[in-house]
Amino acid sequence: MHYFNIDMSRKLNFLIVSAGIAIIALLNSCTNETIDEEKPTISINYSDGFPSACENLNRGQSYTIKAKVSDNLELASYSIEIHHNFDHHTHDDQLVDCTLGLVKSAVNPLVFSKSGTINGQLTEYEINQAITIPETVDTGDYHLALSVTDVTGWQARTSVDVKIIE
Amino acid sequence: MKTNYSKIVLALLVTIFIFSCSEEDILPPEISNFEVGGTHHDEDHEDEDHEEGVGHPGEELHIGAEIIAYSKITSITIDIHSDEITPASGEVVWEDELVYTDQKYLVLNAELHEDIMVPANAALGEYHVILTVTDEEGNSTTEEEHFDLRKKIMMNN
Repeated sequence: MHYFNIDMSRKLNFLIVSAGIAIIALLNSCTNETIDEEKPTISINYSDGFPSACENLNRGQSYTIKAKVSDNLELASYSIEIHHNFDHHTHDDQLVDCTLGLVKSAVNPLVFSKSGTINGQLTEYEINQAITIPETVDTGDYHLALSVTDVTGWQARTSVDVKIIE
Repeated sequence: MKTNYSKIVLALLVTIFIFSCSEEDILPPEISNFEVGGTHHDEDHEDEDHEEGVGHPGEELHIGAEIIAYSKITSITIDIHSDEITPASGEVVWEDELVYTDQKYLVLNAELHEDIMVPANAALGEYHVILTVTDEEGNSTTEEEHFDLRKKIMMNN
């Protein structure tokens, strides 16, 4: 009777330990990471946001591009790009249509590209980028494209028509 | 009947390891709205100079696409070549391989937008554009389009 009890007790201990290992294995191997399916947001549509759609930018003048970005999890990086729209192309993320000049060929178009990282595990941030429009670039229609990327890799984009004038 | 507990538990453990968490394969990137030439959804401004599928020597050629990846994009490659064209004297068959690893493209959802300068001495004819998107998992997706390089017709008003 005494030996039988010891045998049962060992089996019981073995079962408990094994069940514990099984549960730990299950939890470790199967930790379902929460999938971030939410894209960040980007907006220039607030009082300090710049430029507004259809804004005129003078050659030789300096401006500060400002946009608010946010994400549910963590912001990672942003980029600002200006390219000419002399061919009247459009982007899917454009919200406002502006009156465009005539289609023309580019001679010395403004090409501006700037990207930066957003450190500090932030969920809200304001892009603040100074730019001076060179005196020598082609006047006409341009797109100013802004994008922000979150830590997962989702990107939000917005672009506005701007016009470079004399 | 003697129950072999150790065998049962071992079988249970093995089963958990095998079936509980088999990782799903990550799908390759998806390319849509791949366009060469044209003015990208510009339905309001009809313009023969920027007809889709047409380019002109000495001018920029618009290439655009929307890309969804299931693992971050690591590169986008645009390969331009022709199999059919025999260049005349002073002309070249335009061949280019452009690899883009710009920060703005290393994401899950990218909008490809590139304006590529066509050499002024490029021979006229049909060209192919092969777009390849590769992700962090090493998956890649390729789409092919073609365009005609034509002499620009000057309009006299």
